[in-house]
Amino acid sequence: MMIELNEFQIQYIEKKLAEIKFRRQDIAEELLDHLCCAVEEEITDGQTFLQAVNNTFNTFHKDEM
Amino acid sequence: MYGYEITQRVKERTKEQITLTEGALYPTLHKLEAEGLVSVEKVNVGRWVRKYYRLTQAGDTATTTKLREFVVHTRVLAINSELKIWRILIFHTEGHGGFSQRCCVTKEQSNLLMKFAYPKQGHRNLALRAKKTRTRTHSDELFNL
Repeated sequence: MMIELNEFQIQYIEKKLAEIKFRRQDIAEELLDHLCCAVEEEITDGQTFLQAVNNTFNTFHKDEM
Repeated sequence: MYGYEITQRVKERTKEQITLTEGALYPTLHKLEAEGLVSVEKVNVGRWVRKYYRLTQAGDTATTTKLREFVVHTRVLAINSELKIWRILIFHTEGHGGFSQRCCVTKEQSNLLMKFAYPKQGHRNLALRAKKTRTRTHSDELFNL
């Protein structure tokens, strides 16, 4: 069953996302959903929350945006 | 489907051969939206809003067109490689009129090809390709124009 993030965890991801400077703000808005989904999937696969966040942000192609 | 779902679906269907990056996917979706090829529905999923994308009627038509073009391309490649038709093609383009002669496909193969092609343009495009490439020597190059 898919693990769902709690409010604090979402806030953590939101803050981390806010640290990145995006050239296109319209895309940045959509990324919260994308990253939260990816983190939830990693946690469901057995990672801890922090591991999941690190993995997700490491594989995230922020240079393209 | 929403963005993350699209990336996962592509990964799954291509057996992880194709990975859509966020930087490629979202700008493309926004462009398609601006062109009226996809519509967007925003749904509140807890603390954030998720955007669901759906093909519009115009998007559906455009998809069919693109798929047809793709299928024509691959069918020709398949026929070409199976029958090693390239040499025959060069031979027949010298002085013979008519597409079926030029390409030297059987009637059955030609029907198969045209089933997926535009009724009129299919002949024309393929004939043009044949003309452009008749001096080349390697069959694979035929469709790399």
